[in-house]
Amino acid sequence: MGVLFGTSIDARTLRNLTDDGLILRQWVAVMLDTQPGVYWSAPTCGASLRAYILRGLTPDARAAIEAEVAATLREDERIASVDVTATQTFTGGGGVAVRLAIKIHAKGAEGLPFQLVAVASADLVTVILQGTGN
Amino acid sequence: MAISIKSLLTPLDKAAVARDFYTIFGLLIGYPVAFQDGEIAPAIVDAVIALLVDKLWNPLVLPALQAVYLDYSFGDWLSLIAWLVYNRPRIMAQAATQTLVVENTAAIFAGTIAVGSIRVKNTVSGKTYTNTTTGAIAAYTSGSYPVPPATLAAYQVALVFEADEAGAGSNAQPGDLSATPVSAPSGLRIQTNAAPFLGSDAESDPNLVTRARVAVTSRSSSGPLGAYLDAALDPVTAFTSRRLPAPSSWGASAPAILRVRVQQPGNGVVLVWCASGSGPAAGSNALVDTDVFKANVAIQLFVVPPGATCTVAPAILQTLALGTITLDVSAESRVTAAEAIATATAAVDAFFSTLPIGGARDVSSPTQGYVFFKKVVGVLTAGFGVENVVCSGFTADVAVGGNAVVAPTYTFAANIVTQGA
Repeated sequence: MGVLFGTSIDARTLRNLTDDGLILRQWVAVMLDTQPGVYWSAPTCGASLRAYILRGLTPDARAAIEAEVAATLREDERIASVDVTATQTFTGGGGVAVRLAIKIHAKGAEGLPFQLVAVASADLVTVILQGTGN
Repeated sequence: MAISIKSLLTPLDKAAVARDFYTIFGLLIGYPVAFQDGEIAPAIVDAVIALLVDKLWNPLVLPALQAVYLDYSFGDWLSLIAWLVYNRPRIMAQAATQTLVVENTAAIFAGTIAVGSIRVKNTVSGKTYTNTTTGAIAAYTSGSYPVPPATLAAYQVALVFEADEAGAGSNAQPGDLSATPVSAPSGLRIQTNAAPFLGSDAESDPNLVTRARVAVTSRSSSGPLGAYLDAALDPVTAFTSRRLPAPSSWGASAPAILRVRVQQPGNGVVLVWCASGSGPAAGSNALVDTDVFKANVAIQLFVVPPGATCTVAPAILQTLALGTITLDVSAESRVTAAEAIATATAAVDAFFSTLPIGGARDVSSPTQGYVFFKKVVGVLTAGFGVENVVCSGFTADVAVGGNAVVAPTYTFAANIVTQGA
């Protein structure tokens, strides 16, 4: 069982997931790949990066992504603070991707921030865990 | 703990199901599991509950369960149960039909007019009607039309037209039909209808429930009250359910008798009063093939026991002048005066079309029926945005005769009002 977040379910294997860092990474990945309104029980849940990208990445939109992603993640009771920095990259095929550097301080582990990097293109969201509190 | 049938037959609410799930889950699982929004577990729960509730239980399973209980059954499930269990098929909508005179105004077409080749239109409702019979017509070759009346018949033929849409929505008053067909062989036109087109809607759920409920009483040889209702509400089925053919001149549909009251004044006398949705039932027990005549035949043949005497008659019309009904409509509701009046008109008509013969009764007046003032006001104020209702001619309960059916007269006015500061 995770020290901070208990037990989750691994989305790929449906087995128990108990590593706090992996729980957090998976949660962020789901949140960043979920269009608000998908879940009837939580209609505001999610901040779909792909939707942002498909809408067009102007400088203003990029700044909005940082603010909205941070605000969305901050709503979770496990999160003490979030810092998001967005950079725009170009994929090999001429597409656009967004790279988010996400620094999360979880409650109960303020001295051990989780460092995540989320890379989103029009068809894929990937979240990479770069450091954990465990 | 007792759980009522009503609770069991109420549509499930997803949030309530989710609460129950999490309660049970919390009791069964001894360690904390992440259920925050965005986690996998609530996403799975969310999808499974939505599937069970929205796709399976509420639209499929629940109506099937409700169908078993007549008070909860509705729609096609009610039709099925009423037919299979009670042998009372729903009376389907009837298309309005009428005979129209077709005229040939040119020399282009002559010969037999095929079925379905002429379609005419109601200039008021926009509904269309198509000929269902054929007839031969001569070409008109004598100059400009019309010809003198003496020779006109050669260029005319009477054909039966039927509404393309079944139901009362295709009814037409005399003169409503356009003389110029929507489609027809060249040169043909019609004389607009001198008589109305009158169809009928499919039997409503409450009426079908009533017929299903009293169906079993039709098998009694002692003339129970329900048997009178059963025969009067559907005399055709009174024949067919006994494997007897109904008189061929009656047609396949039941008459428009929707309300029946049975009175037993004593000495073996039974009085049956019949009403339609709008007033007394049509005809009498002496006018052949009228609605009351059909009910009378079925009742005398299949219901009245030896020693009893039954008279079937149309209910007596009792007019109730509501006067001017003034609706105060909230400006904040964004409902227009016309919309409020239309809603209130439909509501008051629906109320009086189902008011029992003899009026409504309650525990305070078990024998004398009334039109209860507060009930009518409640019906009128049920429309969205209506804040207050005043009826100039109707301010208190009105007693209704035991054999009377109430038909209201009224005019509407509406005021758009704003809440005072």
